[in-house]
Amino acid sequence: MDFPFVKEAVSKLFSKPSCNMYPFVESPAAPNYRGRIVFHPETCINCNMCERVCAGGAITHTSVKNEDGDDVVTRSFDLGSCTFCNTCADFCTRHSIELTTDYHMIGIEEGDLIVSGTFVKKAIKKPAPKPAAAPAAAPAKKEGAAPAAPEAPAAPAVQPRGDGKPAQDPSKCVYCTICARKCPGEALTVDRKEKIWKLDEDKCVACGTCADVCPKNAIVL
Amino acid sequence: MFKNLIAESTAKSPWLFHINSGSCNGCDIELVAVLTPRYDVERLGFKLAGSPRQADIVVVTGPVTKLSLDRVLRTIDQVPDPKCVVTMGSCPQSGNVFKGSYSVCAPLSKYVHVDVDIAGCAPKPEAIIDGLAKATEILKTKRGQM
Repeated sequence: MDFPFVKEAVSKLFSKPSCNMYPFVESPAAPNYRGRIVFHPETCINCNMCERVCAGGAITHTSVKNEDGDDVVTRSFDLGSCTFCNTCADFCTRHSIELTTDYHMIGIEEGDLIVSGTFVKKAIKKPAPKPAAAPAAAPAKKEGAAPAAPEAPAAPAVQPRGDGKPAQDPSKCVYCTICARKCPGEALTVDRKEKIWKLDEDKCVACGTCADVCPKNAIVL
Repeated sequence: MFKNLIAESTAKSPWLFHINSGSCNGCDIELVAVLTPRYDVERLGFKLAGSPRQADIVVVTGPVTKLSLDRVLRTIDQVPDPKCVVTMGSCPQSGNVFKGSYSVCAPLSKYVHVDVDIAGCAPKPEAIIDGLAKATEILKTKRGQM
């Protein structure tokens, strides 16, 4: 008589269990696992792109004015409403949002599943230097460069403004309006027929999205 | 004496009842994965019960649709006290991407007391084990108060 599986059965009796012994042995997630959100408020510029792209509506912000007139912005991520799709982190031009491999997300009391960060957003430039600086910098550049383009084909490259806000290079710009459509603050007005490229400096948050999306690299920061 | 024995054994073996309230099945698959030999939550005493009347922990998945709301509440009412309600995934906690839909009644916490929320979409099996462990602790304190 032959017992073909006896050896196998006896050896399995003394072998270790094959299951994942999770609570007793730590089990790290895969390298690209998208778990708990970490927010870096110090780099956030409050462009609100993350809120606009969030499918679950998990991202909210509150804004309070402090005594200096600056905005104190608190941005909150509700992990109980999040799909962990990484879209907010993909769209964040300043890489302030990060999805870590931490999956231990258990909520027992209210607020357990809320990730938030507070930062101060400085008020837009003081009213006094603005009228002086803006006409000097922006229109001079546009008026100076626009007539120069038809005369001399090799127009000089537009100079960066120095404050992080975008400046247009009229020799490269084709007025495709992509920058205006992608602008999270709706600060850009582009008219294709009239060949107008206008920046509303009060609305601009200097996020750099327009320069990233420009197919002609006509925007310098 | 028997009472103590029963209390001690039930504390170590909480039975689960799983309600799908219109879930996309992602969370359901993860909950089943927890019961498979890979994660084998039965080694910690958890067991899937066939009826809510035998269960200690109710696990709710899905965004609680209008049609399922009444059934979910009736099922949770059938679970004997002390019970522990666990929501799994983002849907029963907030509605997730179905938020604002005319046919979705989430969050579940509007209707019943929810003890543990397991976040994730869908949560990792390890996270579910964490949540069930927390639910067992809560069950223990609730049983002590009774």
